Amino acid sequence: MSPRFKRLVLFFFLPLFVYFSMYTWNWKTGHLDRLAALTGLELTGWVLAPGRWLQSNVDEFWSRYVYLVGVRQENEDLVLRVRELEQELGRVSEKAKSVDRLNALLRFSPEPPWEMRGGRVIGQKLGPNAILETLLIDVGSRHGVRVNDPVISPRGVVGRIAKPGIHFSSVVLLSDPSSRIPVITSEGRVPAIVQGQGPGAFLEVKFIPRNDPVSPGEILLSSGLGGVYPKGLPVARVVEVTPADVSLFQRVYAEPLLALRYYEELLVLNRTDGFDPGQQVMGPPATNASLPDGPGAASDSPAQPAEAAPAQEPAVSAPQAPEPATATRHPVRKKP
Amino acid sequence: MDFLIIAIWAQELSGGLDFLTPGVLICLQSGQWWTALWMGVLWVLVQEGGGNLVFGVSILFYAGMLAFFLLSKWLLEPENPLFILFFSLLLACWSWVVLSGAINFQELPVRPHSPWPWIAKQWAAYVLFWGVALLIYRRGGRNGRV
Repeated sequence: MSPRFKRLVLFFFLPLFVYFSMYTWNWKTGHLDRLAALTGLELTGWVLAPGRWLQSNVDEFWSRYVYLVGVRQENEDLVLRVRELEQELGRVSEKAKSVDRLNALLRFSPEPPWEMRGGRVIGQKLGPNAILETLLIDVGSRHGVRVNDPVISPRGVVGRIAKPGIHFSSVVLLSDPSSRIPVITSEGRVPAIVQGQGPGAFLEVKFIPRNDPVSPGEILLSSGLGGVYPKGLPVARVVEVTPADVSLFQRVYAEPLLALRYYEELLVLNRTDGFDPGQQVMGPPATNASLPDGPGAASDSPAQPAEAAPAQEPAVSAPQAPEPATATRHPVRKKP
Repeated sequence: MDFLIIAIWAQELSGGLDFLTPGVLICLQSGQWWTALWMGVLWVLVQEGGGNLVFGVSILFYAGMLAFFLLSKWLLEPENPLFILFFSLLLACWSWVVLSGAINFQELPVRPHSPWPWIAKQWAAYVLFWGVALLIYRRGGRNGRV
């Protein structure tokens, strides 16, 4: 064996072999991804957290003690709104009690218990490798957060946990193309799948048959299939419905109920009954994109069979007239 | 440490550009190979931890960077200011190639960045931050000549 060949093997083929072995091993086991989450993600979180804490305190000080323009008017509006909501609550609470009685009479299965935990957004795009639409929040596995736990805001679904660290977690937003959420329409109760199409683009609502009723303005609620999201969380609002020419399904587009990038505090839900919400988002075996398409496969989690869940306790009620997201949006349509 | 904090904040505020690599580049230019090694390992963990790709993309990037550096050093003088301009452009292109390759290889349903605008932004980030890193390096009391 010539020295030149030996050098080639030593400096090129051997490192290449070691690299691919490590890559394949990690692809199967995910050990190095977990190591990176426990070290790199934590380090990034600890670097960003003090700055965000300072920023939020300065903002709070400014808005509470300095910038008080319009506070009186806003206060009067809120008092009126609270009165309206109190009246509505009185009407609805009687109905809710009757639903509980009927559930008990009909022996429906009990609702899975969900726990809610607040978290602050401390980061967004954390580097060149952050190619999915993600946020960094300051709650992690130490607080009971697990992969695929739903992340919501008071207005509706934001996304789910992609990578939990010890004190910080990465959240993949519902606008990311790898995100698919089983939903039902609020009026017609038509099942569908909402898929993100990237930042600034409408969400695509898939698999609504051509004759099923759906109209612009209708709210899409999580259907609870798959067990990742509780049933009844508002996900998006339908903005465009185009009847199909040849296809069996209508072309429907929706927009999130909130500007996903502008939230400072979010809520993480997790089930306390030990239910496994599924695999990681990273990589093909874990990405929702690898799930079969179609309402029949309406599941966020490949690990558990789809199962309709009754209305959950922390479910956020559908807003009466939610404000549209402030980000400029344009539909991304695929060419036929 | 100062460099790490500034670079992480720059990455966060720039919307996903790489600002850590110039630190390794400074070490390579000044011949501090061991510092470059531990810094590279730390940077790999930070980039992979904050990212969404399967572990290994940053290792490939830094390995390619080392190979390009050795090749460029053989052809050009690293102390020449033009070196950093050409080498940063090469790194920005390499970064795009590695990321796009990883996105395709992992079959993620994500559109890769448009090549030329992204490469231009990353190139500017590398050159600018290389200057900042050099400033921090010299203020840190190191006497290495770059």
